[in-house]
Amino acid sequence: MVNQMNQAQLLHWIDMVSFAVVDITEYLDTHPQDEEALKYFDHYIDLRRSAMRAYADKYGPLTIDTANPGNYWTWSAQPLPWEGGNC
Amino acid sequence: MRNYRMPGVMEKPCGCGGDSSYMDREFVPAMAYVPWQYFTTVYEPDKALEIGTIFPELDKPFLGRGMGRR
Repeated sequence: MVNQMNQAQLLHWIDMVSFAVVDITEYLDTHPQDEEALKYFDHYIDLRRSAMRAYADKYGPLTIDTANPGNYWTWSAQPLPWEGGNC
Repeated sequence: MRNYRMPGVMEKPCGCGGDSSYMDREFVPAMAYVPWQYFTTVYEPDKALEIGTIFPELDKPFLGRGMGRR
């Protein structure tokens, strides 16, 4: 699914799934054994990881742990936020 | 992690109000208490991002007065 999205759609998708991860993380902090919440976390962290990898492959890494330079260091080659870039 | 759940307090699944008699027995005046949260229903991620929470029970927009949604 993430492969059919354009850059803006993919970034919005990343925002959505990442927000779900952040919110459930806070819940799990006080409910560490809540099985439903743990399942919810597993689901959305997978979605986030694959979306981040797809974004890095197409448009460049958003975070350093998705940087996969190969033979060219794309990390600093992307447009910066004030140049209209996304991060 | 200290368990925040008060032992012996009668818990209502919906976490909503009810008769306050157990409050008198278990709760010390002038202290604040937060009911235990349960993972029940959650918003879809797109709506959750817009509202600012995945938990409907935490969706309490400040409207400048009173209760209820816009």
